[in-house]
Amino acid sequence: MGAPTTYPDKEEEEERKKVGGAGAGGGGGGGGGLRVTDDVDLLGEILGRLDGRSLAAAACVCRAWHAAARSDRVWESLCLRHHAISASPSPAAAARSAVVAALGGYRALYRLCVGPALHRLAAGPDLSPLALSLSLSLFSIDRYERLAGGPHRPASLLFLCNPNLNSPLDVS
Amino acid sequence: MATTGASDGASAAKKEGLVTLMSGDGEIFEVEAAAVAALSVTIRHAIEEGFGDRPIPLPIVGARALALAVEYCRKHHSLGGGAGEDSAAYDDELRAFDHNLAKVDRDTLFDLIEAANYLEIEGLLNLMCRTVAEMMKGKSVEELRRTFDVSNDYTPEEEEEVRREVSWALD
Repeated sequence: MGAPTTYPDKEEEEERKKVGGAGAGGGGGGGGGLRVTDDVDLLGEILGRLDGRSLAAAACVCRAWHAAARSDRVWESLCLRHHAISASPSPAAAARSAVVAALGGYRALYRLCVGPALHRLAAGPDLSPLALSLSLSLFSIDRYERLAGGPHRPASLLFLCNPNLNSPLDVS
Repeated sequence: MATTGASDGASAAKKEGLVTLMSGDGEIFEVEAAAVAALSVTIRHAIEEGFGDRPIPLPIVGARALALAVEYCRKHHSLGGGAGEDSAAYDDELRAFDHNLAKVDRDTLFDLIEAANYLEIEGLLNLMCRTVAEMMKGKSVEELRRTFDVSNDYTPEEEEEVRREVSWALD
């Protein structure tokens, strides 16, 4: 991981500046001795097994949890687990991660496509791996259109994920 | 064939196939090398590097967590051949064993996560992380702080900011 996000959302960039670098320092182990939740990597292992809503709540707990919850690896495991895709390393997985990183990362993918699709389908934790490909396609189209039209133009096909977005067809 | 004394031969035979582990708090465990090496990458490497006849020091693993981790390795080695949850060998007995192991208290769960991470026992790490994640699911921010004894180190402004940042996922 750690690949640069090429097209970060403007708002996300600003948030990162404000709260970024909180890291594990001064972390949350109020009770003392609870080392696991002070270890960003191990905390990430746990957080990656949550759903999006619980992960958001965890991010609000303290600075260290927030830092762990922002890791794209955590969002990667969320995206993959919901589609019953193994996270074990493989050439195909590396290629997929490179594409997602270039488009803005798994967190953005979850936020724009996977999360709304899960919500809309009210599906259990197991979607078909094909659904991730579809989300990834919609995600790419969104990013491509942002490139052309600036960050605030609504992307034309995202209403497929989230019916609450205005369809651009209305705008003609 | 053996030129050594009978008692030496006997103790060597007794040692056959065993490996000695030393927990961070100095407790010694003699365990079947095959079982722990099949499940723990760290111990497999230590044995390959010739630690076989000396105790393998595991400085950050406490005796209680080590005992449970060793039990996990034994059980999974004998019943499942060390195979993962996806394999056919992961049967009801192993499932019940895992289920029971995950019933330990919160601090033991955390110790086991640390131990599994250090010993590189993937199945145990997965089991324990999933168990903690299940404890987190559906809890409010306040409930999470209480359950995991974490103090809020945000300023009110920062907390407001973070809540706004994640509001898309909370709704």
